[in-house]
Amino acid sequence: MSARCPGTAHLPEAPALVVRDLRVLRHGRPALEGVSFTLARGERLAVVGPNGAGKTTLLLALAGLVRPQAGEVRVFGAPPGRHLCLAYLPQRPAVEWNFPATVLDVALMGRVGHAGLFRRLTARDRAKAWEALERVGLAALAHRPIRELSGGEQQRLFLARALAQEAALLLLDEPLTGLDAPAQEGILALLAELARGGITAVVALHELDLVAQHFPLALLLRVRPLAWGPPARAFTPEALRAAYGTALHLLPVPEGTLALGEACCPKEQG
Amino acid sequence: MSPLDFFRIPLQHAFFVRAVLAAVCAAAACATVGTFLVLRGMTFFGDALAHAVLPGVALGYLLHRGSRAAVFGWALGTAVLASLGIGWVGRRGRLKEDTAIGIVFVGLFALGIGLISTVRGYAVDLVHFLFGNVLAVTPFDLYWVAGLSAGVILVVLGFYKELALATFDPLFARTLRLPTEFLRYLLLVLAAVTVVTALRVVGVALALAMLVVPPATGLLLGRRLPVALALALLFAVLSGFFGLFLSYYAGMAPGAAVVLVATAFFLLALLR
Repeated sequence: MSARCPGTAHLPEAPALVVRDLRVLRHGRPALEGVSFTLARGERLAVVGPNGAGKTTLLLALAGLVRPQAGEVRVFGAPPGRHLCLAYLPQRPAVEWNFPATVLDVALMGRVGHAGLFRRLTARDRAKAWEALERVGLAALAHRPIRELSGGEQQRLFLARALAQEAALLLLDEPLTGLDAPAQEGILALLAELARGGITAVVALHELDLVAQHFPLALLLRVRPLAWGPPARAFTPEALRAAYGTALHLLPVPEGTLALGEACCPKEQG
Repeated sequence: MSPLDFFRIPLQHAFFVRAVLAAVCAAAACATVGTFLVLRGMTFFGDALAHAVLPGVALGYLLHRGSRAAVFGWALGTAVLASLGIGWVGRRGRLKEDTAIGIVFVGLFALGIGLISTVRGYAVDLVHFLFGNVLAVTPFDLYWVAGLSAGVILVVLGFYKELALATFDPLFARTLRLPTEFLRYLLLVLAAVTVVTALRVVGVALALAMLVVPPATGLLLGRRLPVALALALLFAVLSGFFGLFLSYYAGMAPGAAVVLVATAFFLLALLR
């Protein structure tokens, strides 16, 4: 599948994401400073760091939902503003799960931006929504009310909505929080499969072990970028200590270094 | 009395036919807008709006004695202003939104009662504003109520998928570049217009019921938004219709009767 993006003027050869010297203030204090990186199409980047490190802020800035004080973001060569092909998936509690909608209804919401005002969704929109549900393995639950979904199914539904939207860049905030191990593995496998189809993903996570196993690229963040690269190289004891401070204990074991985190259960806001 | 007579006898009166039509139209508009208010947790806002309209009604009543168009116009103007004002205070102030609503609501309501009370013998008129007076609906009133209700329902249907999306997931709506602020204010203005239609039927004090009860019933029974919305409309229309017959036969205030029927439907849905 090609990661094309209808309705927007993309530079054909531009990287999926270019971030230059990004600086964002929140509540008068810097939440992000000096963040620069380039992401080619189809790459998968995990953004890790302690609570309050600016992971969510980075995603919001990439989505164009907060305005940076300095620096710039280019999504496929254009400002993050007018992009139908960019999907931001907030942490799960952000929506009302009691809303009267079925799984298919929510997948169809991904098509609203394509339809335009006063136009009804067409058969093609429905086909796209079904296709998206099939790709995430939710087609069998299409007519189920969303309040009956498990945590992992909810995450997959969000992904399906992004696919129905034909998003070529996914921005995911803590998609694994509260999921059991099989559900986490399922989401990670799905992301890897989507990447093979040319879909670029930036994922905020706090599970260092899963990042090390499943992501080719990681950005270690604590307001400023502390390390960048494949996790095996980026997660050095020095960088991890700089990021987590005393919340992280490094234990030398025969296989290498074991990192034990105290940080759990993040409630990172904004 | 045959079952047919049960309906036929009251409908021989032109005033009763007008009352039924007005009640049904206003109830339909209330259910449509109310469904979105309920889903967004904005029912308190609807109540506040209904009360905040009172000073507008009072001014129209004081300045243009007897002119129904003036009262409608003033009520509409105040409702729109109050809804935008509440939206604005909630956005700007450091107060929580429900506090802001409470302040605007009580202040304007007191102003309304104060204004009406300057007129000698105001008690009867005040009761009409507070509890509606649907049996006194004139053909002119009916055109207004029907026109405004139809307008409200058409606008909601026109923006249906955007309103639904912005209600379910406002952040996602913003990433799709939907005009979420516009939709928010649109809903506030629609609520204002709706409240004005409800004013004639159930009055200030019971307008909230028509905004909340049929939508709650619809949401209780419908598992998808279009179904819930259709059921809310159905129960609203039935409440308006049967409420007036209850009023006729029990000699009950029509606004109260309509609300009682709506509440009975809700309880049945709850106990189902």
